[in-house]
Amino acid sequence: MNASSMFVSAIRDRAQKLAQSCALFPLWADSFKLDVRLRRALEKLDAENPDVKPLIIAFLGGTGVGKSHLFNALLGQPNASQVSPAIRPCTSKPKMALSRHDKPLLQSYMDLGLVDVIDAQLDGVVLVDCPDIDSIDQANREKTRQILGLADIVVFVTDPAKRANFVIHSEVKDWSERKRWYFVMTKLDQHQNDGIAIRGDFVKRINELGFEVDAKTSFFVSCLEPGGVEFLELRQTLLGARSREQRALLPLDSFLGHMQHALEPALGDYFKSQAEQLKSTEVRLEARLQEAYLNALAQSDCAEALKTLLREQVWQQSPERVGFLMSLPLWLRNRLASLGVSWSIGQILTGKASLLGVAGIGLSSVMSLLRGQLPYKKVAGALGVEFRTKVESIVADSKRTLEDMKIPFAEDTPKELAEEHRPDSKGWGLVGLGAALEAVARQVTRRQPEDEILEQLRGDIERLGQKIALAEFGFTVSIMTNLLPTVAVGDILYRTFMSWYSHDYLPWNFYGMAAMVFLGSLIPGYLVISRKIWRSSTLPDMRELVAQVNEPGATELIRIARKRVENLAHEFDLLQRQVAETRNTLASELDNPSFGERIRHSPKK
Amino acid sequence: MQENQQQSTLELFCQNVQELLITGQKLVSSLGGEPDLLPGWKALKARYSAFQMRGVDPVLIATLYGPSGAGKSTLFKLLTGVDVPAGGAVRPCSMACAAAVPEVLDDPQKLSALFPDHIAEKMVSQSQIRQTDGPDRLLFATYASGKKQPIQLVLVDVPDFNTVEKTNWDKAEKMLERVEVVIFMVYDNAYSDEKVIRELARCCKKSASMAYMLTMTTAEAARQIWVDLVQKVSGKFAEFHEQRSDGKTLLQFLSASPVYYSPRAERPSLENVFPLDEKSPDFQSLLHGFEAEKLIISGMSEAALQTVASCNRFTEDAESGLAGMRERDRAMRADLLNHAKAVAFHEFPAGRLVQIVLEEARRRRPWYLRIITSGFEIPGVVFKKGQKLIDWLRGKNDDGPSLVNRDDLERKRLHDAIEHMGNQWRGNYPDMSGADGILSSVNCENARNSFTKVKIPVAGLDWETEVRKDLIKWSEENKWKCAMLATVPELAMTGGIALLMVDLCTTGGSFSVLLTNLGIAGTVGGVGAAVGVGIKFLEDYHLNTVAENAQNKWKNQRTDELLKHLDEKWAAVLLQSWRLKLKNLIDAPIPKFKQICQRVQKLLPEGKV
Ligand SMILES: Nc1nc2c(ncn2[C@@H]2O[C@H](COP(=O)(O)OP(=O)(O)OP(=O)(O)O)[C@@H](O)[C@H]2O)c(=O)[nH]1
Ligand SMILES: Nc1nc2c(ncn2[C@@H]2O[C@H](COP(=O)(O)OP(=O)(O)OP(=O)(O)O)[C@@H](O)[C@H]2O)c(=O)[nH]1
Ligand SMILES: [Mg+2]
Ligand SMILES: [Mg+2]
Repeated sequence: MNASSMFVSAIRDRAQKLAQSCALFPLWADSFKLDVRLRRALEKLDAENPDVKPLIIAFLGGTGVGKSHLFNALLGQPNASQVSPAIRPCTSKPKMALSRHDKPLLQSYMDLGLVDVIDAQLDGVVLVDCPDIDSIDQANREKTRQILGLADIVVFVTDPAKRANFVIHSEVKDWSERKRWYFVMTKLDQHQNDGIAIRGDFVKRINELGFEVDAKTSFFVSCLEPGGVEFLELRQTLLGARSREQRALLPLDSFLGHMQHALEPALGDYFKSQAEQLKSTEVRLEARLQEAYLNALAQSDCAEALKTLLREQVWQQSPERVGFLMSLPLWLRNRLASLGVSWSIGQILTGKASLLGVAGIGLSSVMSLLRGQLPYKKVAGALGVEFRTKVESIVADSKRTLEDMKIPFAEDTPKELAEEHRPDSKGWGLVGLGAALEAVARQVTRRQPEDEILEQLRGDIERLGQKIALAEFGFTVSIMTNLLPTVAVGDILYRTFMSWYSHDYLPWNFYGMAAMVFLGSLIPGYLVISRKIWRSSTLPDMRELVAQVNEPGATELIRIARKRVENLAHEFDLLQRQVAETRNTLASELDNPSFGERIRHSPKK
Repeated sequence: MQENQQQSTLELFCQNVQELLITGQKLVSSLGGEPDLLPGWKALKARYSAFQMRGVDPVLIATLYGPSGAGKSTLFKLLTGVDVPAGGAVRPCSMACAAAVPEVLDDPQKLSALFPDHIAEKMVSQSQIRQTDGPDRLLFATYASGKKQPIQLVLVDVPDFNTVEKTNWDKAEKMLERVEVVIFMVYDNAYSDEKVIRELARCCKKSASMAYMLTMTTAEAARQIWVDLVQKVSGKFAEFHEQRSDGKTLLQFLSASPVYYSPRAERPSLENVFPLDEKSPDFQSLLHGFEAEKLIISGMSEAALQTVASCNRFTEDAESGLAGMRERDRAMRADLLNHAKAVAFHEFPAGRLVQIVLEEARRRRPWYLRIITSGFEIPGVVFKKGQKLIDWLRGKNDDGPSLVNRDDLERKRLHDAIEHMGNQWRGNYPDMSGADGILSSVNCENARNSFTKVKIPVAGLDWETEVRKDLIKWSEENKWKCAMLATVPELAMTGGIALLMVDLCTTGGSFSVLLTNLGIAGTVGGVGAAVGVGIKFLEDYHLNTVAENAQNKWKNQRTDELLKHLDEKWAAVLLQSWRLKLKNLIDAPIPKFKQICQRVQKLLPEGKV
């Protein structure tokens, strides 16, 4: 493996990745085009074998500009290719000049039936006179394009009259990245007076095509005077000997050229514009979802239910955080509370107690006690039909947007979503709670198994509870609340120990009293803790809370699509840059008169 | 006598052309079309209005037309002496239209009448021709008509139509719409260029008279080229076999046009321009020998022919479009009706029916029963009062929105209906969907949003009135059952069974509490079950017919109400522009316009004038 193939394999990998991204948008003409071109570039690279094939130089130009005449003059064979002074177009089958020695080598590369072969004294170079590309003879154009596809170097031949023709320039533009170029203007003999001005104008037009030519790659000649200085230079440049090392680099350059052609900036712009469109739809739909949330939360008693759940969660965390002796009463309380919480949430959410309703609440409370679960599901229910309808309509709009944009729906892509990093949380646990709300809504949008939803909501509330507990119950609280019980226990233990030691046994009611004292000593700490919990577990502003709802399920389809398109655009940019950089690096090796010009900048609109 | 007749034919023709232009303008634009884009339209408009404004001396307009480098500006300079940039140093050279006008026309206003689509501006310097401005600009200069000229000839030099400066193309093509005479110029190598031949066809179609000039070529080559050209276009281009208004095909017209050539020269001159056919007039006398009046009318005829053809195509498209749209409108309205029906059928207010029955039954029971049952009524009342008290103690002084009630379900179903129809239509009518279609996601979204904002109409009382009438009949026929019915619920209430019924009748179901736990599917099922209970209860009391009638009346009435609601508040919003287009199409006087077109075609002056 040599150095160039290292370049190639890096680009090849990227290109394959990009082609895969393209495949996600099979209905876009642009992604199809990109895909086809990328594949073609890769195929071409595989087919190339630089060591054996002679260099193919082909002529491209309008009818009557003097391609055939130039061809003949370069070869020194006046009748090699027919020339016509009147009837246009004249040449209709490509003429290929090559040496006997090169013929078998070329045969393996291309079908020589495409051309009329002309014997010539050439070395390692093949010259092809092509039909025109601007006459009403469409077949000529196709034949020329076939040859251009096979050529390494293209000579753009024109005359002063046709030098700015649109059709011809379009054809050059179409091939500009994929080939290396020379630019030749004929019929200098007819313009002795204004020759300099014409040359300047010609160079200007070529610059507009994206090239930067100089005297070594652009020529103004007369085919009638093959002895002219510039003509001889042209012949030397085209037909002269080339270094083998450089020849070996040409396939790589051609591959890069094909890649550049595939990575047409307009395609990248299209992808970007699609991504932007998706983004703006996503933002709009998310705003609608947030509004739906706010309405739902304002109408129902959702917030109350959430708050109760949260508060309970902090309680649940408290034994561990406060620790030591105080954990005992807290643990006890938590065991008993489960029932009560269920009950009160049920009450809050159902609003009124009809007989059936009461029975329902009772039942679910018992169930939750048995299962050890808090009734998160109630929160989901409390958001209401209205909310459900709104979320459904957001899903419908996402789907329709994608249909309109001809983007297929993503099947199942939890991984893609997981990759996105979440913004850091601010304040206390907003993100966690936002996600919890979102988990609730997901129940509406997708038929997930219920337990999963409950798990999510539970996890989020738990985390939020932990956070609050962490903030509220620091070291000082732990010391403060445990101080009294510790003193009490210490005193009791000390007395007990001393009495045992001195065999002066304490009266039996001492132990009863001691227990009472101990319990009493827990009360102040317990009060402090419950006060803290009541004070701290207030829900934040709903607007803020809802704003934190991240990556909602309702807009998931559109979000996945947006990320895919963004990814496509990103891959596109990366590859484009890499290809351009590699080709530039290569340029220092190849950019000299022997191998023609390459495109430098994008053509003028 | 003959002259008079011709005169009146021409007047009639003009009248009809005017009518065509006026009616067509209104019609085409009301149908969302752009008349100016119809082939021939702009030409007819310009030529007709110039014809109407003509003074005593008819003015003929001729243009030089051809690819860049053909020598248009060079020849223009030679013919008129007006100094415009020409030559090979830059390609293309001319970037704006230049007109050489006789001295009498040295007036922008007169010229504006002559070139209604251009803004005439006196040329003050050559460099103006090199500036790229809009396609409306027409730079003019006077040229000395030294000899006494038989006609007023305006000669125009236009930019090219084949270089990378694409704005030039529009300028050239625009001028072609106006002129009567075209001198088509082309240099030897360009005669078979695809674009050049296409433009040649256009000139054959648009002009009243044409001359073909090959520059920079020899007599020998010119002869070969001409033969080759005629052969090429007759073989490869169907376009050249189309007919002109004078009855000739484009090919015949081209073949009959005089051909000139000029050999390449260091210093081009008019003496250097030769006719290919000896019999043709020499170039200069060609220009002065035109029969202006005839060519002007013939130019108008060519434009009229094309306009009529394209208007016919337009009206045909419109008519077939109308048939399709009508069909589609019917289908869409049928969908609306079906969905309205489905919602009305689904959400029958059984609870309300039971309530009405009970009310009527109670009102009609005999007085003695009323006394007997009053004892049973008390616990029920107490229960209700007790419930209210509990609520009050809990700080809930209103019933609050129950989670799922009939109205909510109806709203949900309507919502589902529009979503379903939206998707169905988007699938069935791909030409209306897509990102810029009328059924695009954004349009659907907006229509839905506006639909959800309006209230669903409250059901009218008509069906209730009817039901009550039926009930009176029923109570007379089933006195005993009526009495039972009025009494049993109160009996049952204390037993607690009717709690369910009362719940259903009064609040639409505190069931909701239970139903929330079941999820939405459960809710619908639950309500369904409740309806089932209600229906069973009606059966037991021989109230089937009453119930059935009630249901039918409800369905019919509600279907109408919902259809109106869906149509006005949703479909009309979503399909607004489409329906407007349909309405315009229906109202458009297409048959009348077709008649005018026919008349114009019949009157095409051809050889008559
Ligand atoms: N004066 C002059 N004439 C030239 C020159 N090059 C070509 N010609 C003439 O231009 C005419 C057309 O030349 P061809 O070589 O047939 O042109 P081509 O580009 O092969 O044209 P097609 O085969 O139709 O595509 C012929 O008469 C040539 O002699 C030149 O440098 N000076
Ligand atoms: N008209 C004409 N010009 C000739 C002839 N032989 C050579 N020429 C040269 O051909 C060139 C034609 O240039 P222009 O007159 O500017 O051509 P054009 O058609 O106006 O070109 P654009 O303005 O670019 O569309 C001039 O340089 C003339 O000197 C000839 O026989 N007739
Ligand atoms: Mg040739
Ligand atoms: Mg010009």
